[in-house]
Amino acid sequence: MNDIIVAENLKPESSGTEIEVLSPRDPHYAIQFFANSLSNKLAQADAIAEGVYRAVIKEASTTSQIAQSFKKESRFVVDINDATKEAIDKGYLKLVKEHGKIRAQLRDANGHYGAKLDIKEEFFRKGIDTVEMANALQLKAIQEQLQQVSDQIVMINSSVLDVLQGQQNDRIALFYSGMNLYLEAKSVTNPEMKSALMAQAIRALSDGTQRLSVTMESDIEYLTSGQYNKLRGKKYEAIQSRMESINKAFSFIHQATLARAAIYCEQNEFLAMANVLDEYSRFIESTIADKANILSQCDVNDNGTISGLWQSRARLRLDASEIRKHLSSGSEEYYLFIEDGNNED
Amino acid sequence: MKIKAKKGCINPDCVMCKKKVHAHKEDSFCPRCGNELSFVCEKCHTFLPDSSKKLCLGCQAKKDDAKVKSGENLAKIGTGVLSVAATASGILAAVAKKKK
Repeated sequence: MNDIIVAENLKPESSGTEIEVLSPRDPHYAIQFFANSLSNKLAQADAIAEGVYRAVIKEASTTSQIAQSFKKESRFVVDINDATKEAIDKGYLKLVKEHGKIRAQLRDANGHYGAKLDIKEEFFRKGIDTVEMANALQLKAIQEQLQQVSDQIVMINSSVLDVLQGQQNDRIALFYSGMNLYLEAKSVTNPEMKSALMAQAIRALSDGTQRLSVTMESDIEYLTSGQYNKLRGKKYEAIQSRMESINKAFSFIHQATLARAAIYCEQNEFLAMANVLDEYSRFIESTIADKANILSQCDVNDNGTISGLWQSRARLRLDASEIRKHLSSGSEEYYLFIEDGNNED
Repeated sequence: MKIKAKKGCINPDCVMCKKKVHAHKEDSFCPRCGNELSFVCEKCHTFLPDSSKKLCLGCQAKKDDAKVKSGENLAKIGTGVLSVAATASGILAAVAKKKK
């Protein structure tokens, strides 16, 4: 199924570990976190959609029986009174069970027991949670766009992992602070404190991203304006030191963006998640896209081809606008229909 | 504007790109893969946006640094030579004085 692909292709190749055993300082953490959030939500959406389908089928069965009544003469319904039902529930009386099926046995006019008939136990389902259903259907509707977004994230993620090892500074500390606050928020039971911590986590991640963006922009400006030319005999060293800073900033911006998107996804705030991805896309477009060639000329890790590190980063377009459009249109109508198999939509 | 940069294939799957082979200036397409040729750095084969420069920023910076260093080295050698010459002339003068 598509949802499995969406979640699975995000998971880091080298790591078969689960999110619970990873530290927020692990470079694989953000992508794993994002992958888990998406896969959980998609699995929930599938389950809810299936529930909706079953409920519709159940309601539809009454309607379908009207049609069948023209073909069949009657159907038998076993009617048990309250006293018998209570006796069954308490275990004083038992329905005959054979091969896991409840059976009713018929007796003919001569008093001989005859064929056994199956009795199906039908449970009354509790009503469909409309908010839950709306969330699930929204997620199912944007599944295809999520697939495209996740494909692009995978492409970029592999290039940022190498840079992340052992890098520390005050802006990066904000990223870790955000991740730790989120983990704390997850374990807090008081709902008010939980939401306050969650908000702080997102704030720290957002602040970290903004500060790193400014650092990255100023480093890129340094390279594009050729300020390093003033240095005599140390131009190359200056370029490489700026490139290191740019790579570091980009890696953490990427990680923090994924983490924020994952938190919103976990909280069922899909529109906010789409906004985060859209903002990331706009940042790449404004900061990297035009300067990709200069960056690839300066970066020793870039092979300088059309599929080089910076050229491929510049091409990253997380097209979240479609997702946003889907989610923003409040008057969207979802049609439930039954296909030939047991598929539901 | 004079064309300074070399042309090359920037298709990462092409042998011409992998081996960093430069193409003729008149050619527009790669003779191996048919990909459109681009201006590339003479040294590292990085894709260049225009033909105004021979080298990419990284290689140009390396070259400039090397130039500065070789200039400094030459200056050092010159200073060394001068000091040796001064010492030698001093010794010669002293020897000549003794002979007198």
